[in-house]
Amino acid sequence: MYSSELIKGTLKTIVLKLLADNKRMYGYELSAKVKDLTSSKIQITEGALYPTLHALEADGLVKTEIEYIGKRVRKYYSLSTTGKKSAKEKVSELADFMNTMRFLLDIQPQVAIA
Amino acid sequence: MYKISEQQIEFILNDISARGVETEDLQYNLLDHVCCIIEQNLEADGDFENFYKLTIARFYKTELREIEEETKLLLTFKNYYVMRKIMLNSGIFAASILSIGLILKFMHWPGASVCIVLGLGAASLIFVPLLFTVRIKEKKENSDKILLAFGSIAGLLGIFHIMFKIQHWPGSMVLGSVAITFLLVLFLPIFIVTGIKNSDTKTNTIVTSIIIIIGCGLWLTLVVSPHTSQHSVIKNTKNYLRNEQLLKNEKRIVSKLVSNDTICSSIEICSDRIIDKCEELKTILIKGETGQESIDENFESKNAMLDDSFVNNYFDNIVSLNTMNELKHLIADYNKVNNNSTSKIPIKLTFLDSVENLNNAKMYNTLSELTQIQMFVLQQEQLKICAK
Repeated sequence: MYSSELIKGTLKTIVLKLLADNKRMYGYELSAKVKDLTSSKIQITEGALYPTLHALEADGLVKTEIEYIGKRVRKYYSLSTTGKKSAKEKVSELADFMNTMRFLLDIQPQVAIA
Repeated sequence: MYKISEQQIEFILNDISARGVETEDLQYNLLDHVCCIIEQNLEADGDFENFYKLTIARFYKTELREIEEETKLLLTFKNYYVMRKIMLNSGIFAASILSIGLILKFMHWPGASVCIVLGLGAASLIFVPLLFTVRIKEKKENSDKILLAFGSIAGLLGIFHIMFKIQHWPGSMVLGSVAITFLLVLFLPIFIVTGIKNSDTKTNTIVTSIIIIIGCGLWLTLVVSPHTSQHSVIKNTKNYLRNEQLLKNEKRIVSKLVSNDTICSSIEICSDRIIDKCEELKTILIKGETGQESIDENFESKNAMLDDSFVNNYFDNIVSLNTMNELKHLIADYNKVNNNSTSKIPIKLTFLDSVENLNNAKMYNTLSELTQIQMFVLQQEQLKICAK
């Protein structure tokens, strides 16, 4: 599992990218998906996920829909038009950053993920 | 797979609320999240209460409400940066446009008033309120917050005082006095008491207090208590009223003479038009200066006084410029007919003589020059009747 500092800096990008690929998702679904895709290497904590989702909503990058499941309220998040643009920008910025880090830290590119 | 009952949902919601999460939106987010984890991971006959406790404990480091605090922090910081940006930009805009306005005023070029009002308006309505909002978030102590509030109010009142003074709007003296009172009676004592206690801020507090007192002292000398200036303004206005009285008397004499005259039953049309045009111009200037159509004996209570301001501020529109040019033409025509050196209207070095003279012309002198022209024309009429 990676340190929370590393995850914190990339959390917005992860959330935006997942929403870009999955149309609409709710909080638990997002964290479960990340855990599943990364074989539990990245686990998003609730304390980091919800503040980020609220900030993205306030920035107008994500839209929300509410569904009632009995007494429970489920909030689905999906990308707004600006969110879609931002998702692409953030992913390409992170990819560029990773390349720079690879060069900076002299890391040999991996051929395939084990 | 565990099935959560409605009572358990209520229990979780109440627990989340009791743990200090107040935002309803976040409460429902966390509730759904916990329910999902329990449903996915707890056996159908598992111990709900125990599993819930373990699950919710994973959500935080010390307390659950830290999620809400983190959310608020992220949202506040977003607004904070936007506000800071607007604050800085409005401050730069206000300072620049105000400087331009002051240069224009100094050079007696048109547009000075617009720039000054715009600059001071941006400073008072955007910059100071945002500065207050941004800074209050940074202050932790209540005394610091009160100081900031008093300082901002004093600053706003000071700006309004200057704006009202420049624009000759009524109430500028009251605003100035309230600003000074706020600064010296409310702000300064709290500032000194709170600052002097701390050894780190002691020297800075003393130095800043001295600067504030010196600044207020200068301001009081220049703005709030300019007894001499006020005296000269009253004197100018009284002089103007006396001149107007003399003019009225002169008009009555001429109309009496004209009515007794058997050959000519009225004064010459050209003279009459010059007198009317001068009157029109005087009304424009007085309206510009005092905001009122005319000045009477109650000028002090109406705040309709003649300051020693430059008149070219009031010649920045077509109506006043046209009136002035029409008067110039009428005088030129008059002087063509009356080409004797003693019967010509003397306009040398008056505001009508050249653009430079107009740019340097001040209110009281200009009004006097116009009255002199009217008196001159009236006296020429008297001389003509006497000569018959």
